Amino acid sequence: MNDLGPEARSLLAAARDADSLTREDRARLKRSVLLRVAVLGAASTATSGAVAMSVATKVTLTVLTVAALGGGSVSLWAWKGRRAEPPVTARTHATPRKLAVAAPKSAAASDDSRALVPEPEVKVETQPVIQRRDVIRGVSRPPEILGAPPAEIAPAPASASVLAPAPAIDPLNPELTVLRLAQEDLRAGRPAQALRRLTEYDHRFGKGVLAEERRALAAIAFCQVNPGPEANTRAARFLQTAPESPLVERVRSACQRSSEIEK
Amino acid sequence: MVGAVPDFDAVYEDQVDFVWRTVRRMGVRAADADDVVQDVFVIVHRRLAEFEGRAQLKTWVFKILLHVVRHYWRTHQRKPGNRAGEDVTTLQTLMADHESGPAASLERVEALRILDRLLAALDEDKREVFVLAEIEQMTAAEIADIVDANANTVASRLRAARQDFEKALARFRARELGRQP
Repeated sequence: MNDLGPEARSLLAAARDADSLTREDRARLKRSVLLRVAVLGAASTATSGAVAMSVATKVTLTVLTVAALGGGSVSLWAWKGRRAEPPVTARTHATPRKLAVAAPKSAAASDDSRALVPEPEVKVETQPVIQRRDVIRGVSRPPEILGAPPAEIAPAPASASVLAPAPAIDPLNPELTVLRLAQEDLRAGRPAQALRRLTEYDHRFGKGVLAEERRALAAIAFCQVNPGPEANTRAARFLQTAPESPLVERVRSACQRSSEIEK
Repeated sequence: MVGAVPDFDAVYEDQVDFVWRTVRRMGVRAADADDVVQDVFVIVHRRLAEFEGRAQLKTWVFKILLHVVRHYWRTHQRKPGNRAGEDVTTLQTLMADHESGPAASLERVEALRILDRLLAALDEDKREVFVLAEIEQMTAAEIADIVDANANTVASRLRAARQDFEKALARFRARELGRQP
């Protein structure tokens, strides 16, 4: 009586064989995870402690951007519903309708971080909750959870060639670390340093899941270090190869001066 | 294994299909599955250094998944068995939607849709045990560890879940027959 009938078994077998992700969807999901980890890491640094995430439902994170550069560099992290990305589709088309989320919805951002506390070995501590809704709408300044207190966005000191204290480094992901450090460099008015970091990473590791973000930061840094034709070429290459990137506008903005110089 | 911190990339590659599949079978809507899977792996990433190797990695990941999914149900104010008709469709509708699709693919889509519908008929605790046992083929001991219950309770839930599943399948077939012209 405990056994299932043949039809039930057949359905279950189908479930075991199906529903695997395509390579592209695996990569895209991973990229979103790492970007979210990066943001949470920044929050963790700012609050001197780990920050628990809340499970909301309807937001895909895309990345940080670097804002227009003037006397002082200002970094902005932006969350954005990036629905231009291809939807997740099971390899077997197991889910006929689009699986990707349509648009950032109401961010039923949870205030119940304890719900995420896995038991025994998982040990998730109760911590401040990140309200994703704070970042869903796009921000004109870094929300507090993203760890950019006002002091950090002040114009960089004139002799800003010294490395700032490194943010918390994630030993599991050097790519995230280099992005964070480059971001800090740009924020502090050290584009050459940012460029060196990004270039060195490229030489050592080559491709990565966040290659697009690294290329965007590099283009921005190059436009500051050496505005002119070569910077414009780099920026144009990025815009051409990553037209869907949420960083497009930032690159355009940062390289505007470079473009004017060429004219 | 104890003491070694697993590499996130390897864990991700190893577990993502399992996580995706289970998230779907646990009643998360297709439109939400992307985010829920991300939530799982964000926690996995942050907690990986704490993984002590006492449990199987898959079991450890599943505990995280279970909490994320339970949280999802709570925030959506519905249980997997109360899906308000969403993601639930009849075989006929399904076929109409996908008549142009490849036949092999269609068969699988049909099977998965029917399966999701039947799983939605199970209570939350039965569903968890059923998915772990019948789809992920975990042992009673592993399941007991994950759902924090003893092995007898797991066996009892599984028995009841199988019966409910068969009943749901019979009801589904009866309705399908009733729709035949």
